[in-house]
Amino acid sequence: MEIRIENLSKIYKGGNKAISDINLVIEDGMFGLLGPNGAGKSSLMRILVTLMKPTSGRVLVNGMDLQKNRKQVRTLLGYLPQDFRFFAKYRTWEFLDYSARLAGLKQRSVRNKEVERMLEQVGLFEARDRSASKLSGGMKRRLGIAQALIGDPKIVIVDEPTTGLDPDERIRFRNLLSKMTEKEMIIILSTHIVGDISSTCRSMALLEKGKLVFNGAPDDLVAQARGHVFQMTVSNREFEDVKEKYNVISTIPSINGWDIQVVAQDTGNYPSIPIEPNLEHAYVYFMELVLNQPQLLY
Amino acid sequence: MKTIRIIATIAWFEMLVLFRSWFFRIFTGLILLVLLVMNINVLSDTGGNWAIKAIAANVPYFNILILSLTQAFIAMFLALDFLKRDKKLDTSEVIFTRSMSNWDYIWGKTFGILTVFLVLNFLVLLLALIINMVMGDVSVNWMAYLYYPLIISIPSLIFILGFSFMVMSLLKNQAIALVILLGYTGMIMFFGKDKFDFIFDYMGFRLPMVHSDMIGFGFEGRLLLQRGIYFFLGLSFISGSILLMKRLPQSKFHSTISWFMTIGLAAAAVIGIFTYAGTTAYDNHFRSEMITLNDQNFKTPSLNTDACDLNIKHHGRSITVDAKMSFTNKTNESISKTVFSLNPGLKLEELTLNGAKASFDRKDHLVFVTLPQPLASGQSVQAEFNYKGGIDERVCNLDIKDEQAAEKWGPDFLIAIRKRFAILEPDYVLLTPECAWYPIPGVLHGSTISIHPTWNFSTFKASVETKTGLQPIMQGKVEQSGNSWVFNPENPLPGMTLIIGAYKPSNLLAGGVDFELNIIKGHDYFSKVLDSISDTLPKFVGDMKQDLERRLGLKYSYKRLRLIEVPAQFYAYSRLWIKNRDFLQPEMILLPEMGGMLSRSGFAQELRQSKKSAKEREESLSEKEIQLRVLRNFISENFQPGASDNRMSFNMNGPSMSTDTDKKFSLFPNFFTFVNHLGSSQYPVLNIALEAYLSNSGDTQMGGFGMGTSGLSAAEQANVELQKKSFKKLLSTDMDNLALRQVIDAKGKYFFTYLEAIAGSVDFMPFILDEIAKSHYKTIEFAEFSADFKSKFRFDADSLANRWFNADQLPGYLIGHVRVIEVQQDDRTRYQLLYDVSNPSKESGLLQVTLRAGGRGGMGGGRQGGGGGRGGASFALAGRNAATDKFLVVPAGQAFQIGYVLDDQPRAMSVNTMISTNLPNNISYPFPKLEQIKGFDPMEGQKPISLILTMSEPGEIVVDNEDPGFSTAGAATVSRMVKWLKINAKNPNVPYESMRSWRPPTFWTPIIQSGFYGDFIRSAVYMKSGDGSVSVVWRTLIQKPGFYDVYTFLNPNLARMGMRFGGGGGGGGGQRPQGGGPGGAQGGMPEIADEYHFTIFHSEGKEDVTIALKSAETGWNKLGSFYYGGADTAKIIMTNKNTGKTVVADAVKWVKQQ
Repeated sequence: MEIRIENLSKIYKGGNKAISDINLVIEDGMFGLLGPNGAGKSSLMRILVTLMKPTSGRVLVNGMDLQKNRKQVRTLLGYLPQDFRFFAKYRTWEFLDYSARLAGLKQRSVRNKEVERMLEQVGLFEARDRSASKLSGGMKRRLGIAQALIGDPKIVIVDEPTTGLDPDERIRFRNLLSKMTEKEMIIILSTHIVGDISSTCRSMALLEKGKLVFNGAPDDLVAQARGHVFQMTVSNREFEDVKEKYNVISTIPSINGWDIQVVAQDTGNYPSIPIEPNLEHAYVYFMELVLNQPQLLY
Repeated sequence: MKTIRIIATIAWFEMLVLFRSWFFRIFTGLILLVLLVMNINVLSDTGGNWAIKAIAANVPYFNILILSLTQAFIAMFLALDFLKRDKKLDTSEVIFTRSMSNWDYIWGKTFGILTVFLVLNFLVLLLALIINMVMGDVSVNWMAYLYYPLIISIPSLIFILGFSFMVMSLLKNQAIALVILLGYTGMIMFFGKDKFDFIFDYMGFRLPMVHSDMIGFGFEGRLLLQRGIYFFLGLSFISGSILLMKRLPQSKFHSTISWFMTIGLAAAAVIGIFTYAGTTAYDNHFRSEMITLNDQNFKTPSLNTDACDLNIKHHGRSITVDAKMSFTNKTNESISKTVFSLNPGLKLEELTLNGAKASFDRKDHLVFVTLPQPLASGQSVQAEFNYKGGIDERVCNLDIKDEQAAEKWGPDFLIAIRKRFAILEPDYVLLTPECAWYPIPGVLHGSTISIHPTWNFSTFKASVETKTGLQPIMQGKVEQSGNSWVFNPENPLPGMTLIIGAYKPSNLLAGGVDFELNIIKGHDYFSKVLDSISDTLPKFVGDMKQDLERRLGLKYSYKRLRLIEVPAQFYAYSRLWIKNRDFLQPEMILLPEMGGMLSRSGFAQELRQSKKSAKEREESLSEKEIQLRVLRNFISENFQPGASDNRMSFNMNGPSMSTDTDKKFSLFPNFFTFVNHLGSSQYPVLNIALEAYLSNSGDTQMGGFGMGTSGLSAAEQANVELQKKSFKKLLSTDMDNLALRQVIDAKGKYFFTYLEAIAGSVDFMPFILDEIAKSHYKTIEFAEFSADFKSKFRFDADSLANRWFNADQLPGYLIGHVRVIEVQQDDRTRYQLLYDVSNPSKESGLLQVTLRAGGRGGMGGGRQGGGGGRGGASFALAGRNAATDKFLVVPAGQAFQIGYVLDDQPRAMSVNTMISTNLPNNISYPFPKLEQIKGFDPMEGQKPISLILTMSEPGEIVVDNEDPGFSTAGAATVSRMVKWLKINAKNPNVPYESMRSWRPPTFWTPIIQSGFYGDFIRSAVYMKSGDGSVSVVWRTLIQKPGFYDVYTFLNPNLARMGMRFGGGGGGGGGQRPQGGGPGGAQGGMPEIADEYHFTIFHSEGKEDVTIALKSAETGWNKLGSFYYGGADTAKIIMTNKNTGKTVVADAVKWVKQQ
């Protein structure tokens, strides 16, 4: 599977530019779409799931133009929107059954089996007869991914799936997604939580103000930040100054003051030890230092 | 296939949601409960409604009708809700990304909602069916359980769903969409319901859809078109909302189909609308064209039909007729060109006159014939008309105005029957002379009452051929040979009726008359019920016939009476120019299918009820006696002339009075109308005047029930009209038929009662019966009648008729000084009643005085006797009591003292002023005290006195509310909403309203009462009690200085009545409480808290006086004595401040102290 996005832009009525001239190729596997709130992730997602038309540019799915072949593309899609809380009066299994029927599972026996399998997979088997609207937030999200995955879609698009979940549910959800990568399918995970991507994605894109600012493997992003993440110990007085000058990403109080981690080009007069960056460091580095100083952009 | 699968999936899951919605569940529960109660109520074995039950299809009909009304609203909510839900629910996006077209989605949702409602329809029908099967009286019409949901529910649902989707898709706001949809529905229900033949009625709520076993709905084509319009419009809207759906489409094919469907179906619906409305408009246009043609040609001389021999062949929807007719010129001029009326659907193929082919011109229904040579007066011509074709119903009832035509015909407020006037179907035919199915000389109805079909008596003969299995029915003796039937009426008839159907006749010879009952197969619902009376039936029916003859004073002159069951749809209007509805034909009664629209025709339940009440009254009656009682009730309630079945009906617009006030199936026409005719070209309504007199058709009280309608009785209303214009002018005025009928009835009765008063009742009755008997089967000219009257009674009836018809003034009476004196005469105590009557007007007039003797309590209550009133089933010739009813002719400008010497002490007297300026026209005079004067010389008769011009006594200055010195001041505060909705608004067409204690008016409103003060008009004004900000003022100029006693005229009984007013008495004088009867009104009256507040302005200032009604007298009550210095404007103010509900202001007077 391949999704090729070419010069894609979306301008809303009133002139608000949601995405601007995006070019991107997404291949099988988990693809992370990272960016702060309002970066245009959801707009891009909604275009990809055929809920919205782009203003210009096109999306090719396995070479098929998305806008011209909605019918075919929709058969390949599974979608979990950012908000997935309000349901009509269906039981959990009924909702999955509804999705399975619409996904093309005709035979009742096959469908029932698939619904049961999905329920088990997402850990909702026990809650299958419960009204979907009465599930907890995490359960609803799991039901959401189950309905997105039912019917063996080739492209699954998941928008901000872990927002608002407690850590346990978040980890559970990430594991669920990780399992999916074993199949030959594209999973696009749109998130502003770096952890979601670092634990699951092999490639990713970074959106900022509607523009694609990074596209590559998470490691590539991390590599860029190498040498720009430092461990420092500062006194209380120095801490205020450091906060002013650098992007402090972690602070731990110590006997003499604070043990902190900063993302910076260098730490100047402050003694510091460079440390190995992770994706979160890299994201901060990229967003705060690279994007704010366009000359640093590769 | 995939599309169907997806639609089914979406529909299924939508259904799940709806079935689980509490809104829907509660609605379902409620509607099932309501319908359960209604079904049991309507179909109950004892208390059910036979009018509905009679036609088995009505059971599913009324169930679906009620469901349809409610489900339209619920469907509206649900349709809007699903679109809103789609917007709100996060799950919708998940569904929207699935591979399906918008077409699949919207149709899926539509079918989901539709299925849910179909299930509800099914449940409702199942419930109805179970009750239908359990309740024994009613058969089950299985097909009706199928076609009513199909023609009512489905198009309504499709339309309201589509319309809701469309409005919501366009507006995107549920609240606004709902307001628009509810507003639209409300507007249609209240205003547009019957416009353009129900075109706006998307729910089919008012559409008349009673289904006859004989002719189906009676307008299948239009019905399907009307329902089809909404079905297609709904589908178009649904397709349109597919295009408007906020989801990116994925199927070009489906989008294209949606476009085609949206535009194509909308176009089909629009064509349907134009066809439907266009036909209605064209029909109206065609009717006006025919009326205009009649107006233009009614002066074209017409011939009289002497004989008419009709040779009829019925085939499919047409007839072929060879009519051999002979005509005579009965005019005084010779005729060279004449005109006939023939139904415009019938094509006149050939006309021969005296054996030679003649040319003719045809214009709509008129056939203009130029005679080969002029036909001299008295000469005859033989004609043969060959024509064939269908029947154009539009020619019927050209005299019926739109508002009367629009009146609903049906067994209850909900169920409506399509009115049909002529039917020509392959299996059923019903043609009355009204549709001019054979040539009728002259024109049909025109725009005025004088233009109507000619009424002459002809010798008819007919032969009919129709298909096997059908039986023709016409007037006369019948002979059958194969498929051919010959009818030979023994007597000349005013017209002939052709009915063909699958009838099974059964005969009963009773009282010398052959009673022939013709009903269709399966409709004998009574034989099994009334199974014990067959041996006594001939005698019973014979006795009833004799009784009727005795009561009417007229003989039934035909050899037979055919009772023929006709389709439920057949309807006949009451007419202004003749007292007959087409339900009655010469020697025929056309009975509505299964007796559905007849009174007390549900024999099974009548029997059960009779048994029950007999048991309750501990009457020991045999089965046979009870069955005879049921039959007697049925016959007298339906066929005996007299009592009106005047109905007050409630519809969406509130109470309304049917304009058809006469009994629909009264046999009167078969005793008089079809046998006699009083002709007069000068006074075109004399015949109906005589009919009104003979049948005593009603002076019905209008309004009553405190519903803000007129406070005048029919006769009073007529008087109000007649004060504006002469009778002649009024007849050519475009006024509503109900009002005009009241005038005609009142005037009609007046004319002949006047003659009766001149001749004396004892002599007049035999005279008029003799006149009738000698002119059987022919028209008697008024000139001849008048000559007979003159020779017998030496009175010029023609001159009376002239004044009666042309005078533009009415007499008016002042009646007073009523006294009862005990006198001794021939050693016994007798009673002298004296009163003065004065007619200061320029017209002579007639009064009817009714005395009530003995008894207890006199004339209290709302019922008032008198020959003019309707005291139950009273008849002109038989119902009067010569001992208590007196007629009095009072010449113009004369006054008399009248004296009666009576054996019994009279308790009260009521005077019916008939046609006069007096209001009310029934005035009650209680006799509070009996005078005892020794040596009083009793007087019987009348003696002239000087003319009385006013009711006030010499030396009194009276200011009544009708006088110029009376005025009102201030206005009550009325909320804007009340003003806007015109609640309590004054009706400019109603000079006097009826008094109501419920929601009394917030402004001074004139009312009339016998118990009020007044010269010719006994009126007062009343309004809701208030804070005193609104008042009335009486002013007068007092010339002579001195002390004056000041009085006000009060009627405390009225306040007492008002407290318990709400229905009043029945019949007679009407529902107006008769406050003027203290003789019977004192005992047991409730206490009243009313206190009226007066301010009397006099030369020395002003004084406030409060009068408590509970201690006030009926009549003049003194307010005090005050000094007036001369040339003073005296003023008395009364405010609306009161502790009771209403305040009444009438008259005040100043009486100079001696």
